[in-house]
Amino acid sequence: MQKKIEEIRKSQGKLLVKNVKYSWDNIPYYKQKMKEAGLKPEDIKGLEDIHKLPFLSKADLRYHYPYGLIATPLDNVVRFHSSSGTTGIPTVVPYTKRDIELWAELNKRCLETVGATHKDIVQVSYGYGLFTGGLGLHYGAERLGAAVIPTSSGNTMRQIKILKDMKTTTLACTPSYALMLSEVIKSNEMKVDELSLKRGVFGAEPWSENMRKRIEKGLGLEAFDIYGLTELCGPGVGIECSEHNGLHTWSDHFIVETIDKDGNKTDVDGEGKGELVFTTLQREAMPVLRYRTKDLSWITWEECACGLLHPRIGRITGRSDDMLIVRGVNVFPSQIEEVLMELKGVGDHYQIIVDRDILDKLMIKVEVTNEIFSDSISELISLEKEIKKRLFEMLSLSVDVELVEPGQIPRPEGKAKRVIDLRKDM
Amino acid sequence: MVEQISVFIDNRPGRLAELCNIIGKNGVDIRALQLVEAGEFGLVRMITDNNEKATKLLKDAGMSFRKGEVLGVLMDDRPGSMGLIASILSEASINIEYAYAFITKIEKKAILILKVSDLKKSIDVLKSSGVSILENI
Ligand SMILES: [Zn+2]
Repeated sequence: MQKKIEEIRKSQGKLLVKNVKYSWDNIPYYKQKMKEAGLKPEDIKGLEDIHKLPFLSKADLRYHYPYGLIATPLDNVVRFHSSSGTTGIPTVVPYTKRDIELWAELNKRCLETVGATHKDIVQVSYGYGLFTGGLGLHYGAERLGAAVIPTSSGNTMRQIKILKDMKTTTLACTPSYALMLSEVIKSNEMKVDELSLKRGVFGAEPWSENMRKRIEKGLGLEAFDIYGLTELCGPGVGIECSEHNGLHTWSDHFIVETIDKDGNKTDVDGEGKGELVFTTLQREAMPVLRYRTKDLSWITWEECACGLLHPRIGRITGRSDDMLIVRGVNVFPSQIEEVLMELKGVGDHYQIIVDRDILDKLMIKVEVTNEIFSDSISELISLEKEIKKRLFEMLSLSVDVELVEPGQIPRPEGKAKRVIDLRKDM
Repeated sequence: MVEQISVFIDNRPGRLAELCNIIGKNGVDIRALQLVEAGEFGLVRMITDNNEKATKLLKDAGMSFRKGEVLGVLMDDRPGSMGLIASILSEASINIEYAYAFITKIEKKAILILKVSDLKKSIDVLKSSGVSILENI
């Protein structure tokens, strides 16, 4: 077994060497970055040299918006997706025809890993569009030869009718949407055995073991975590197997490393803990070298009881930055602060609360200081509405805004605790 | 003209009582009070016998508040009084943003507090109709 793993890692090294050369030749920014690091493509001889390569961050991708990091002529690009990033500048990810095919293949493998076959009926309740979730699973399921029902997200009652009437066996959506479906089913006094669900593939947001139990019970299926990032292709980067002890990442497509907060490599021979860093091995339109995900987890090549030799990453336990994922949307507290600061007196004392009441809820408490106090109820209500409106424009998320008395937001050690994520306890 | 204090409070059980205690326990008498609720929060408007002390107490308690001038009118405590005042103001094209009334120690008299769009004009028209305007309460 160890020998086989060595072989896999060796071939990863070969693909890496090829990819570094390809990136150097085709993406001026990579060439510049490598030069700045005193590197030439021939300095990367195999997997053991990967630590020499500079990191790529989300900021790099944004900086080169929209076409700056494309390695192929635009002629060869057949698709764009975009991350739900909300800092104003999105991250645009291009795909060649081959990229789309390989992405479909990865999702097909994911579905196979969770036990789906061409006989299955797959309901894709992820959003279709710029977001990669819907189309990623759709292509994978089609490639598998399964029957796809592209419901996309929303319209819960119709989703449930389709689940029941069309005897869907495999459901793909965000875990919070899965939980919502199960709660609606329960409140409509439907029984789980009226459904034919066997498994669910849930991702695009972090979720807990506790939530897994609730979804499994509520929908009568086995729930699998799927991992992906738009920057790497979308869903299909990693998938849980029936062991439910980490997600296999496809070693012929990605190299996974871990680093500490200062960027030092923490994995030795592929085993480590820290921020996940990904290098793509086969992408044409936009290869990424050492992309910092900010997702905290672990990796291991330890043999898995399911028999797959692809290394595993743990479920995401947190972020190395303060980014929140709310209903699949990336939210940085700094964005919220920016909006609040635009309104005089509003941004001084506020608190961001994220909760999960079936779906994620984002609430902002704003202390009514003397500066924004008004003797008119309608003025206070329009202030509330104005904050809501501006936050919606920034985040594309509806946010609850609550005006509170001064002093209601605790200030431990004199500094306000700005973000409270209550979902962590769920 | 009467001075009124408006205070922002969270709309939760017991909060109004707490506010009244902050002021009342320190020897300030709340003569009139109105609570307006709007979902999670509320506004308390009040008239006290010692606004200087009341505002100091509110400030010490860290509350958000504002002092403002409103119209105080002494009227007969009988049906139709309030309607009469409203129609005088309306004929003069003055808007009433809000109003609240309370009875007084003076027999058969009530005090009406009005927030109007034009304070000076209101005083003029009401006075010329024979309505008594209060300077303080
Ligand atoms: Zn496995």
